[in-house]
Amino acid sequence: MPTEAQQLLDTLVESKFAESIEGLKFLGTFVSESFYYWASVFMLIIHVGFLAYEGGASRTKNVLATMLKNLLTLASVGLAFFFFGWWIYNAFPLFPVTGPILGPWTDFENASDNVKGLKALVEASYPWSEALGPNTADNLTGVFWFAFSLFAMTTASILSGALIERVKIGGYLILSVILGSITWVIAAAWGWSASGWLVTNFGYHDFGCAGVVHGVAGFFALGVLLNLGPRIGKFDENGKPRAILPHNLPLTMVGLLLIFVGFYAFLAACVIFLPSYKVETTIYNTPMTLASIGVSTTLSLAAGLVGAYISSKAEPFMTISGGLTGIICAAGAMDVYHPAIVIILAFIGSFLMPKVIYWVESLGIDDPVGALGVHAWGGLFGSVVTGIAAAGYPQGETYPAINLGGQLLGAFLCTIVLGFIPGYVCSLILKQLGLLRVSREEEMAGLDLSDLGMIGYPEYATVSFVAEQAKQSSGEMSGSGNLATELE
Amino acid sequence: MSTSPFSSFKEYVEAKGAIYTFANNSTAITILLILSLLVFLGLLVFSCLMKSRLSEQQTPSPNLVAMSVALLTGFLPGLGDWQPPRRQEGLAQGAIATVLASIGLGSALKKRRRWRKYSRYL
Repeated sequence: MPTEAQQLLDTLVESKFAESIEGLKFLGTFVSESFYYWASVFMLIIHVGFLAYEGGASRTKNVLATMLKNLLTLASVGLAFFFFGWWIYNAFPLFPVTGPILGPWTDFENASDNVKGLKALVEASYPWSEALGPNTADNLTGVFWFAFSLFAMTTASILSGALIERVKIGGYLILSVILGSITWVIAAAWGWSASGWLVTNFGYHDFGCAGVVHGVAGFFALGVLLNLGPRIGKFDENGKPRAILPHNLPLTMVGLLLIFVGFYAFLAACVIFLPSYKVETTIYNTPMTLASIGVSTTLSLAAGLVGAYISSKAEPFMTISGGLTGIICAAGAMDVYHPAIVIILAFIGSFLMPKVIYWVESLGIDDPVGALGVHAWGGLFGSVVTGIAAAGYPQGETYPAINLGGQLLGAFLCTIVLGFIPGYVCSLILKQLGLLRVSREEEMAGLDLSDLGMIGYPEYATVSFVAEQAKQSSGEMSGSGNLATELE
Repeated sequence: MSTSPFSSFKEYVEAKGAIYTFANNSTAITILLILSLLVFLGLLVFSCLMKSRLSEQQTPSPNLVAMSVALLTGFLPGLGDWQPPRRQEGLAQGAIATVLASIGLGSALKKRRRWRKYSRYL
């Protein structure tokens, strides 16, 4: 047919079906919007899990304060992420290697192409941006903010468990803001962004945020723990650790299983599908499928449980922590790993996790929930092993392929530069200001009484309550305030 | 060593089919599957061979002895009057509290430990 006739026909068809085409286009937008919305809602289950996990891991005298501290993470990080966290993610991808920090001061019109390309994202990230409020011209910015804010809260929650039973609530909330809305966000801008310089210049690949979330948070926690110190009674005069038992291990285990559920949503939200897309991609615009994430998450969870179960000789807390470790160890390149590799990596990482936890304890570091073994170790392993197990995968036309050097650099930046150093320095400052740790008297009495003026189980003669009564009656008791510890 | 079946980015993004590691190397996939099968079998073997922990519990510890003494002989005055912070408890609760408190007294019979390196947190 002649071109003009074809064009006339196309115009007639389009005008007849214009409404349907518009509707189909919006359907694509709504699918994206809904997908990230519900994935983020499911990610909230991670916080339900952390609440139960940490509450169960504490002693009865600290259960309410522990849970409240974890709950308030949603508030501190959520608000901070609105005011500046989301802007940091969009402002830092180029800094300091390929461009400046982007903000209201940036002259986008006269900037380089890579800066100009980020203008819309940066301007939509300010708290005064029209994109963050109800806006019929933008159905996506808000829901991406929602998803990222849940990532941020998850990152900060990793810190909260390591500090239970002796941290001051105000000091913890300040640290949660620094970790949840500044340091991990910078790591994400550099290494979990299509334009991040770690990706464009070094080929760093971290699909499921092994280094960017878990490595940063785990090593941040390490830095804080060095200044916070162990719980009273955790180590004897020879430095030998005493077991301070969780008051409710079943609750802790239920919490971890809820975290597993939320992690499925976390990894699903790492898949990118936008209205104009014909395929799913990673954050790096490389191909992937959501279906394979379902397979890989399940297998890494299973193999992680096996590794820790065997390594710890069936210790329940270690075993269930192994499930999470397994997922983290395989997360770095879960978009491309064959299922057999997922199983092997998850098994190896989680088999070593209990060893790491015991080693950390032998160094005199008190980590009540094993955050260093699960997140610091798992994140480091997951990030570095990507450079071996997924080596050679192209990342872009001009970007380096996945390589061990890039992964080592990324792991170093995540764990040390954005994890350990900020955690150590910030907690040291808080310690000097008297904002880091509760007093000895408060810790002995329990944070529920000293922070909240109430106890978590008022109808039960709990071990710590009875121990306190015995102390008052006998006038003498050594060390820990924990009868379970005393009876060892 | 490259685990990628693709040599260029164009080939990668235009791929229609398997994109996973070693997708072009069936020998490697076979070896990896055998290794991952061993993980699965390892779980079954380990769980079947795990020994009962019952034998580890049969020797009473000194602390248990102290507890027994306290239970048989220790009743602290005044704890019969103990009431929880929120509401009045019956005699049964008071008796249980007395017994538990006597356990606390039994633990206080242990000699004090020496203070050393972690004395701040002891």
